[in-house]
Amino acid sequence: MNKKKRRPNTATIFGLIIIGFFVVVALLAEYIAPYDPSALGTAYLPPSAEHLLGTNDLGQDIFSELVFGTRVSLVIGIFSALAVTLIGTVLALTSGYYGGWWDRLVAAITDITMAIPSLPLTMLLIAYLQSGMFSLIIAMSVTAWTGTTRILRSRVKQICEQPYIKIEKTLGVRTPVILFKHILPNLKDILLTRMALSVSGAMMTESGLSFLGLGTFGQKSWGNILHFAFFRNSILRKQVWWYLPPIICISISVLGFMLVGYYGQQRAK
Amino acid sequence: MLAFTLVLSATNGTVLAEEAPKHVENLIIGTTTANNTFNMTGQRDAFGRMNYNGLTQGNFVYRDTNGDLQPYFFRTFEVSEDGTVLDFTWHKGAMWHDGQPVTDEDIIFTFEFMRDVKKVGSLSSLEKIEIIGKNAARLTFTEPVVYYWLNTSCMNTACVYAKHIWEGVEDYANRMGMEAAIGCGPYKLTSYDLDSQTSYYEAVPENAFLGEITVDKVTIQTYADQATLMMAMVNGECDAYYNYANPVDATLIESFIGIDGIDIGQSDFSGSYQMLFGCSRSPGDDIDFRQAIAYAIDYPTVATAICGKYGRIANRGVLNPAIKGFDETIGMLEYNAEKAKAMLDEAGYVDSDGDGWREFKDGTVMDLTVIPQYSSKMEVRMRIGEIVCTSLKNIGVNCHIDEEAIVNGEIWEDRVTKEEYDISITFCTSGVAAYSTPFRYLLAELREGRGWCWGSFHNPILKEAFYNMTEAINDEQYLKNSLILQRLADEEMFALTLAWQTSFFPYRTDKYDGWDNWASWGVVHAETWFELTAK
Amino acid sequence: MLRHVLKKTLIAVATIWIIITISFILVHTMPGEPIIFLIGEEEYYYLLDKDPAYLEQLINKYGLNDSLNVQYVRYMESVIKLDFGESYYNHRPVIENFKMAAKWTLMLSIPTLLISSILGAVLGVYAGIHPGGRFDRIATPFFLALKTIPSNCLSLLLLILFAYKLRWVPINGMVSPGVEGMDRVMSILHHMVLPISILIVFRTSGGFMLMKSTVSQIRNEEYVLTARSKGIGKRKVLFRHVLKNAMVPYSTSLCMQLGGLLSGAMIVEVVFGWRGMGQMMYNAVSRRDFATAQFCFLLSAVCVVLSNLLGDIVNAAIDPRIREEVPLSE
Repeated sequence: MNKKKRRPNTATIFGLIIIGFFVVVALLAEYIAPYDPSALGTAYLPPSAEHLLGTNDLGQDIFSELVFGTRVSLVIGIFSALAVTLIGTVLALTSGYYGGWWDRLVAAITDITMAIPSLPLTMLLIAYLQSGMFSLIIAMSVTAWTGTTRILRSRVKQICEQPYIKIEKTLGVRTPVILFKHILPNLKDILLTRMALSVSGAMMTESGLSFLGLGTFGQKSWGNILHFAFFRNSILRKQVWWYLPPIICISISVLGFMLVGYYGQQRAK
Repeated sequence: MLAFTLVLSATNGTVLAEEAPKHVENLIIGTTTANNTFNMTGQRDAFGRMNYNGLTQGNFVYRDTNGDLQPYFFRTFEVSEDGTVLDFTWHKGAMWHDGQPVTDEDIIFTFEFMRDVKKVGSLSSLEKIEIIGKNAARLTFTEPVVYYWLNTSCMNTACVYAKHIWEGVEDYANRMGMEAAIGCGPYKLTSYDLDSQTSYYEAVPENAFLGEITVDKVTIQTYADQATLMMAMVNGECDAYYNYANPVDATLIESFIGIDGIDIGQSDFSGSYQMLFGCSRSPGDDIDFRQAIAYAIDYPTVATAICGKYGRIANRGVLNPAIKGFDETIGMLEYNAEKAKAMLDEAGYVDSDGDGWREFKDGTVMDLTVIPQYSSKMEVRMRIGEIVCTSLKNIGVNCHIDEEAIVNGEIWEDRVTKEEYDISITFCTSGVAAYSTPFRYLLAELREGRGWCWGSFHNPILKEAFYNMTEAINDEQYLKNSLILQRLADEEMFALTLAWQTSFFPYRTDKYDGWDNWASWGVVHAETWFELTAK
Repeated sequence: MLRHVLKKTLIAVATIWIIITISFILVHTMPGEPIIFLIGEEEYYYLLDKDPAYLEQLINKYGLNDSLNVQYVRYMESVIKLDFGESYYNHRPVIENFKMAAKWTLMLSIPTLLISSILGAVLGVYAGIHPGGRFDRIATPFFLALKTIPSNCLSLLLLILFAYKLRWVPINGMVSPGVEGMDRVMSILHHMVLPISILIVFRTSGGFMLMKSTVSQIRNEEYVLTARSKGIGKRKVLFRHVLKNAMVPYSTSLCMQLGGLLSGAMIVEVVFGWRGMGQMMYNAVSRRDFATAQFCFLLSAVCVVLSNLLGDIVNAAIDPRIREEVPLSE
């Protein structure tokens, strides 16, 4: 039925390789990075044998910053996606299954949240919370859960129309059993792909926020590195080694998650 | 005809007395402040900031490059011995931009307006305003605040207000029409374009306060940021950069060195970043600790982080060479981590439990709180905070940045006012540095009333010398107390300046002559309108 | 039918009111003294030092001392009268700032909508008809990759290439100073090139993906196969059956984009110095400009709600069955 049977596999595998690569780098950051990213040194050095990507405005090794930044960017992305997916699944399951006023309420809240512009809302929320990864994750999740919820909810509803679910309901099978044993497994594919897409969305939002100067201050994500590179006019000063690597890292990792999400979705159909 | 005369005089080798300087047709000044508001009662936007240079307003006096007050709208001014009386004369024939002449009534109205409606604090003790002759007047105060008022208000909307425009106006700050921009300065605002962010000005020869006005027209063009502005300058689209307290970034200027026809306008910058110790609690209250830490900070990296290769290590007296009263005999700061470690060991801050960090003398765990000053532009402050933290950790002192205070202005202000910090990093603008000096940021208690207070070194000498300096009744008293403050800082090390900065106010050199680069201010100032000529 | 429309309208109004209230609460309880942003940091500390009475006066004038309830009631009253107050930043009426910013944002968003919707539809249909074909194999990864580069990175890269290195387009801003008439129009167009290209690229890739997946999915559905087996020509099948059904999710997406016309792409506008609604919103939130920020939230809410309403109506018009199919990609 799906004529593109061969290609999605290659693309998905390609995406998985990318994700795997970055996860490994994040886990083994201490061993891969040649320097402590907070160690100071001579500033603005071009790439050399000692500093693969040169140094930034504080003399910190950019390559080491990039390696440790993988950890920060991935953590923010993955945990945001987890939060979004968790919220989405709970809301979708309950509203799709129970229907009634709860379903209408969830639909209303979803609509309202979608009507509020997300980037400014995230900016506002960040102003409330302490700086740091956790707050960033919360702020981003609060605006990003709507897409996943909507899609999951319609899928849950579709499943609930299935005869066997209706039979189980009348037979009096306990709700948690129905939800977790029968409905949830059917959502597995779409859940995973939505999660992958959420990760890529979160990483893009985070890089945008860091670029505007609203990201974390303590931990350096790729977006942060890019922010300071831009702030110090590295473009005019032709310090390609400073602003290009974060852009490449962000783009490729987002691509990896997108590939898994998009082509995986194709397969799920 | 003019050219012929000039050639003659050149070949003669003599300068003819009536040789007319070639006027500048249109001086295009680039800035990065918005070109939106044109209200002379405030200092908003490009218009307000440009009036620090007396563009459209008859400022009474201006501060020249040596920090001395010079007459502008005033022709002469004299402060009495006891500092309570100001006698001044002003230019006759001065004209408002709507054609009306400046009258005695305007003068009286101006001071009453400033004292009663604008409620300028330093004028609260102004008792009498009297006209004592033709274009001459006298102000009598009940307190010796004349020197103080002149110095603190000199470029701050201390200018003549038109009675026929501002009389009876309560909400003066929000007035919007073209009449809100009218003044009696050497230029009048002719039009502006909000979309392209440009404003246009024309010379008014009746208001030639410092001699002949040699610049016929001025255009102020706002650019989105400094990079765009510099590119435009290279293209010849603008002639000079002006921005109050905001010189071109050192990292940006590097790309423009050596370009034909551009002078980067380098000079010492009077603004600076300070590092304050939290002296009201341990360990900041221990002078041995403070002296040790003064050797621990990686000054070269801080200087580079702030100012690129133009940053220099500061001395131990808090002031920098561009500030009035700077004492050059005070010793320089030194980065010597080994010495810092030795001094800390001797002072009793050792690692008694072997966890790698030093503890207090009594063995309790030490983790210092570092708070950079909150502002809308935190980048440099955060970089400095990082350097300070890393420097401290390198000598075994554990520390962290207060995460709550750096994103929330209220929390930040609360913490520093309550002195809940071990190290605070603040920025003194060139405006405050010009008169109040960075010591304003180091005050731990105010004399009276409300006001902000971010220091923590409760010391009677600091407080007294500061007020004696800023409320001095003459130059001598000012300088004497400035010296006391600097020496105190050197001895007690309650705060230090992190680096001496260089400022850049670039300008084009190919079209015009007579540029005069004022330290920390640039080439656009009150004298520019009368000195700049075309080649 | 009338009841349906009435119900939807009531819901729309309720939604808008809830959003106004939420944004009011959020904006007003945001930390940070708005007065500092109102008059500028330096002036605030200067006044606090030299003239605290005047500062107090200003705070009272803007009603910043009143309780939240009082401020809320006052705000709702003024909104009903369509008075949105003055911007804290330049003391001009918010409406005036809005008109100026909206004009510039529309200059970017309307051409983007027109061009990208047509481009996306055409390319998407073509790829959807020949899935796995040569065009699809090139276009899909191409657009996918384009979507993954964050907008700020892509904007920066293009800026570096075309503005700094090649000098084909100006670096920043919307119009060169001092030009009039036709020159002004040309100058604006010249400044528009980069931001609009980026926006078109992003929108087209979204539309392309949507159209392609919808079309290829529909082609395989039973009724199409039925029609084909009946012997109805390929062309007829295409237009009558496939496209008509594909238009449903696509037009829904278009209507949602209509709602975003006035929002402005924040990051693109900030990078290119385009003083439109996106930058206005960004500045308003950063500077705690309550009046402007609330207005932006309100405006966005109204636009989205209206466009949803429009989307529902259009849907009902095209497809009487009103399926609840949700578009695959956003």
